[in-house]
Amino acid sequence: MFKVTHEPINPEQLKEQSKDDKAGSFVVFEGWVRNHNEGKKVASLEYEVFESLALKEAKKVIDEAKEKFDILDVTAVHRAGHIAIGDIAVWIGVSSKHREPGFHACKYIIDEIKLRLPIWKKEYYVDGEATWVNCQGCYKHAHNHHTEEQYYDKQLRLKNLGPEGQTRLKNAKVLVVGAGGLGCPALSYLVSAGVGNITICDGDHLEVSNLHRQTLYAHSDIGEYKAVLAKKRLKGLNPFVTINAITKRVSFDNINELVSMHDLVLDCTDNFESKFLIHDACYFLNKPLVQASIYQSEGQLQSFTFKKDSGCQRCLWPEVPSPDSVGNCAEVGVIGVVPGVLGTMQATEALKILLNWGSSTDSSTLLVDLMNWSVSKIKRSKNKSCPLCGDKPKIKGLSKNHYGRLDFELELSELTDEDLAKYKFIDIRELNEKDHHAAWENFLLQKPLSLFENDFNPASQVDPIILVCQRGARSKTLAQKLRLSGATGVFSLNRGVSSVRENWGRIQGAQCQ
Amino acid sequence: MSKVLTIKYFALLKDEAKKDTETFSTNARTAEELFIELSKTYGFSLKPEQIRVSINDEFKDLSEELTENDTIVFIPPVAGG
Ligand SMILES: [Zn+2]
Repeated sequence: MFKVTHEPINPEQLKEQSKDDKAGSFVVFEGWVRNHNEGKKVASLEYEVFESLALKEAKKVIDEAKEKFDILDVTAVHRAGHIAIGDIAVWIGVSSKHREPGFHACKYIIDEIKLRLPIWKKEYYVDGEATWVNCQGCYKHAHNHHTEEQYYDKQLRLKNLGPEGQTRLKNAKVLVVGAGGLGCPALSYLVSAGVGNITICDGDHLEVSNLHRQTLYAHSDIGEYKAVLAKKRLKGLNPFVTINAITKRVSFDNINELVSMHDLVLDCTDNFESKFLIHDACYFLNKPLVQASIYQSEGQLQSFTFKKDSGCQRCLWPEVPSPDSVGNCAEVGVIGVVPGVLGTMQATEALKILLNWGSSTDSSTLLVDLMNWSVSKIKRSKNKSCPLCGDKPKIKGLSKNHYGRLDFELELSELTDEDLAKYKFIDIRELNEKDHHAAWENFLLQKPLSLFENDFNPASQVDPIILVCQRGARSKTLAQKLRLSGATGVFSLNRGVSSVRENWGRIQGAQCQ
Repeated sequence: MSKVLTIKYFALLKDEAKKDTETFSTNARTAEELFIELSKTYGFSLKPEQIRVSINDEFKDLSEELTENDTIVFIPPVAGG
């Protein structure tokens, strides 16, 4: 709730109104009128509020706070009219289950109210003078005086860009996966160039050790979602573009939807699983991809437009490399300018592709070493035996089997008979879930979940095992748990027993040889 | 027959070789043989199947034969961001 009042604010009454048995914390901010400002003695203040707009904007601020932080309710009141030294100018109370989100939300609300609400302040000084000091919400109106033509003036002058190119950029939809070291500069330049629709996908919260290379964020932002922070910062950079923040990691479950909604994808992630997942999804959906990776002072940049003759990622690396074949920057260490340069190069390639200027990295890989300024451009050709784009592709669609750490979930139809013979099937359903007649059921080793965890020893397990439950949910959880406790050859069967039933003939054939 | 090659190292291999480039004389016939020979000198932690090779600015198979004055780049996978 937000209101504007001409009467003195009564904190006791407001506190009483905010009482909530569900709340374990109540954070209050009071803004007081002080007796000096910028060296001048202040006698009193007058606030003039553009009320209808202020109410609308404050509601937005409170809704945002409720979305961002785990809080119960907000009560906020702003004074209007003439008020004296020591009076309360603004009062904000936030109730929440726990104190941490309460503090964060309260700070967010007062910061945004100060910044966004159309409230003018007139100071009456002790010496008899008076001036209007500021319109707090002025910055909101400032950009309305500027046009997009003015914003893009310097690039509109480019003969090969012009209004047509600018329109092309404005209509473009770009997905940026990862808002870290590579993503920050890439996003800044795409947004300021006027790419009209940008989705930022990143599930991480900002950590203090990110700041030396992730230049969109402030020290006071620590702990918040990077995607949300980046969106806010970038909106301030260019109000003419639409930015969408997704606070989730890319995964097997969301990648197709994300990629298909965009015209071009920037891979700014830092791990092989995500890189291959994004790459393969772009291949199947035929969306251009600009990818970069860094290692200490070096970077690799490549684009994929999946044209006839140019090689894809799997032409070069048929399988997802194991994470231990190279460190990522969390382990190895990196100087901030390296992702800064490579992310900027990604934005360059993305703009070239969007503007139809052609990408020079869609058939070669650029290796850059910032330490000795060496740049090698290495031609990538199509590999006929590529498992993805080759003559006889093994990978015919996105499947969980093909992405490193996600690969403990198996789909039987994607295993060869030879592979199938290697696994031991374990039915973890409880006794009362079984029908005790089917031949396939007798074939499975029986170990109900309730007994499983107590007597499972990862060291004594030799064959790879496939856990089977009714639908694939419990087996997934158990496989994940066992893997975390050190087991390696543990898999979960997607869709559980119905998958066994469907593939029973093949399983029997493969395992009885 | 011995041939002289220019070799460039990237990422982990550069760290392990403690150099980014060198001129090297070898009897190795293929890129793979060359890599195995260099592994003995520098103790590379990666196996041949974990790296890729470029010969004269083009990705090639590790079984590709080498010729005098080739520029060879050994490239491990990189994923950092
Ligand atoms: Zn391919």
